[in-house]
Amino acid sequence: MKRKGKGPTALLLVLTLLATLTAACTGNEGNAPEAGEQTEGPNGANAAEAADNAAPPALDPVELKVKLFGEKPTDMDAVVAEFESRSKEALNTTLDVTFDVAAEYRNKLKLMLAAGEEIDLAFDAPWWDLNANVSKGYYHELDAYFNNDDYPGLKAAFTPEYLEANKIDGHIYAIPVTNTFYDIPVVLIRKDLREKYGMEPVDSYADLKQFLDQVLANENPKAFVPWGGGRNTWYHVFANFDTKQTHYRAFPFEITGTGALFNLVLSEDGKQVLGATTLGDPDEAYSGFPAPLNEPDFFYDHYDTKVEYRKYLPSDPLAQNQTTTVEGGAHETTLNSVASDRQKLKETYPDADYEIFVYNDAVRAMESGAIATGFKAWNFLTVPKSSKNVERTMKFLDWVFASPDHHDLFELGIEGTHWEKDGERYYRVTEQTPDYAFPAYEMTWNPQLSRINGNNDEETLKYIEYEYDQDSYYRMALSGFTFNPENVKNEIAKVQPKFDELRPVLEAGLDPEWRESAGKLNAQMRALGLENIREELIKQAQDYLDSGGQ
Amino acid sequence: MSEMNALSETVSSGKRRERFAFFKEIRKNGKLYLLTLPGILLILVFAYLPMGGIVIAFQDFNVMEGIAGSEFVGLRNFEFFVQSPDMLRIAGNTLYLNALFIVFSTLAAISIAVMLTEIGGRWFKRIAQSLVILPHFVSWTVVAMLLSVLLNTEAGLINQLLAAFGVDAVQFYSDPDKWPLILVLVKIWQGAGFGSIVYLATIAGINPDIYEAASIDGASRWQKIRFITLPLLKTTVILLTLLAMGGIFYGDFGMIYAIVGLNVLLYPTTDVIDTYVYRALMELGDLSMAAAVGFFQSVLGFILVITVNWLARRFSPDSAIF
Repeated sequence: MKRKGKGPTALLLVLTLLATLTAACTGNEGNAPEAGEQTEGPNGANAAEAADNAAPPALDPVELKVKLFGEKPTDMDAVVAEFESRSKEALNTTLDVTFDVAAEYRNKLKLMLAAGEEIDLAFDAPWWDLNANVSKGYYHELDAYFNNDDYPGLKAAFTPEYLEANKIDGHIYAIPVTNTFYDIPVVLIRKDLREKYGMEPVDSYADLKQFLDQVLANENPKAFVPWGGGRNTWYHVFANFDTKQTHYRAFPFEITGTGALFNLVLSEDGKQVLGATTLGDPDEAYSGFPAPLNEPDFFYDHYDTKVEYRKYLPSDPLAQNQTTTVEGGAHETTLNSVASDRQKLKETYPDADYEIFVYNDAVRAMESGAIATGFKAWNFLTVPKSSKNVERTMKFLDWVFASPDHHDLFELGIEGTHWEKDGERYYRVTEQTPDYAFPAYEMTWNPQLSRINGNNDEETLKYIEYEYDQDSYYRMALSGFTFNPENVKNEIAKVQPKFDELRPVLEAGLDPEWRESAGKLNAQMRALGLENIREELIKQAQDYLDSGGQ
Repeated sequence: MSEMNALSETVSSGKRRERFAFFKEIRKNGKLYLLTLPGILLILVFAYLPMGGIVIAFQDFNVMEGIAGSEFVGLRNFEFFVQSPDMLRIAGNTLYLNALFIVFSTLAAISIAVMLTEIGGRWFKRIAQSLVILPHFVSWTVVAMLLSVLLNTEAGLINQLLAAFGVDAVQFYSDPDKWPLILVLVKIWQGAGFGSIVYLATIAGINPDIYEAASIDGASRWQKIRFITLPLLKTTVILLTLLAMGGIFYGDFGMIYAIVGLNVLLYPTTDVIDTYVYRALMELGDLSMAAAVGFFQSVLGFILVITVNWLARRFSPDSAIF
């Protein structure tokens, strides 16, 4: 009798459990079509009607998902609200902008793309996975939205030349985001310290060395080293800028994505690939190159300098989190970051100041045609295939780039609160500027619309103006070329970790016998398939040149 | 009574009878088995169905074309990993570090559990327990920051202390030999408190009569720990170690990458399979090659679990999982 009594209870229990399970599963399914309906509606309506209707009917509301990296500005929501109220009639669009920590964003984006999560606008860059993601077909091709009178804002802000240089496989898969075509790297010197030592402004590497020696001699080495920061602390400093890279590509402008980095050398007319050399190759490998490229030291003697400068770095130059522990008398950055670096310094030491040292001689003299570029942006915006709101996303971007006012709102925040106008080209920071530290370089930077920070010192402003001038640039060899790793990815996966093990050691100047170590590394890499990568790189570069690429 | 009969029937009957008994058993206790159905479904959906995804380890997988459309390439994705000359060193590091972690974390967790049990004051006990569990919830990135404040050569606490005594600074971040010890200490600090929870529960489940009997026989506190608590924890220890074995080929990426990062000087002792593969595939971003390595790690882990379980069954049948 007792047994029978248990039956119905057990059955009920099982049914309840199963019901919860299935409810959890179908819950998701139930949501999906809902979201689809909501978003597909305006899309279809748009495509059909926008074309023949001069005054399109009020648009259905839509929410765009925007993915960026970095820290979310404190007043981001206020700016988004301002945008939504200003554009209500024209766009009827709300924004969901999310920020991820840079280190996580890259992997997260890859996963979200692979999983087909719905994203309408996402940051990506060739120094992350842009090219791979495009070749995997993750992104919408956006050719139709540019140079199109239905999108006047985009048409004006993105000139055909600008877009041409930034196409991938001949199409616009990613919208270039940059204000200039190169951000001049500079060494920031602690001006107050330099004056304390009674020195003239730093104008050469010899001066720089003298300044660093003074810091070493005068400051407390426990808390203050001449060159703070650690790994990757030398950016382009000490690179060889004597020859323009019009018929070769090498540090600091190597072709990336090849596992080991190569020096790729072309014939002087730029039509024929003469060869590619890498770290530790024997001298003979260089013999076929025109002078001065026929000496390995032309490409690598900066490693001697780095050994010499080792004493100015912290004791643990390769340690993780090095930058958070030690301060320095000088460091490297780029023009665009000078103002914010200075602001940070002033927060701790109100009386301290920075001044810049431009170490590329031709650039320091502001010669025309001195800056190497491929007229390519470093950062891009993409519309993933998973987006159901391509048109509405592009309408949104069209709005942003349609007028300086719109553009300023996203780039700088609310006028009068986060920034103030300073003439046509400049802006001034206010007390609330830190509340809207928007990473404009991920979304809004534009050669024509971006304002220059008027709070910079005169010297810096002079160079920023120079940077904005198209005549300051020259076109690098193979500027439109990107390497496709597909055929040699096994070799790259084997060579890359080997190469990456030695390079930081050389960069930090930790190995005085670096030539010997490089030779050993080279032999190991050859055993792992270096030659296949080299051949593939030369072949692809030659194919690119043969098909008329520059 | 009827259950006992069913049992003896099953045991004593032959093969045909056994098969028959299976249906009989289902008919008899069907509703009880039905109770396990949701759990079985759950495991099926979230553990067995996804195993089909292993197939991408053998494909040149392209997300847009999906599993059905991607080209089958056999073992090509395993090549880079197996052919790499550093593989022995890296696999060795992974096993060595994980073995150290398992052994010392277990020892520390048991000590903590025993000590917490012996503590008398109720409030002190609770606070102590919370304090040792707390580090488990600190993220590795924060731990890495704390470590760098501690170990930095110029500004690190330890080196400033050494300097105060006139001792030369120790360059922790350039000396790989010190890192297995540092990592083990960090691991204990972070995980042993949390790991002690299971042991605490086991100890709480030990019959108090045994301790009482021992007290009457004049056993000291230490003797009770040595001859009652520890022997009775053996089953749990073996069980948890067995479970940990399954993951022994997986390096603790979150920990090691946050703390060591790209400091190449420490690779000789700290580079594990996961960090190595991360660096090798970071730029390529190839899902298939990553899946191949993951599959490789699971297979080795599986073999290890089977072996150790077999050993456990031979020497301590109660502790074996199956």
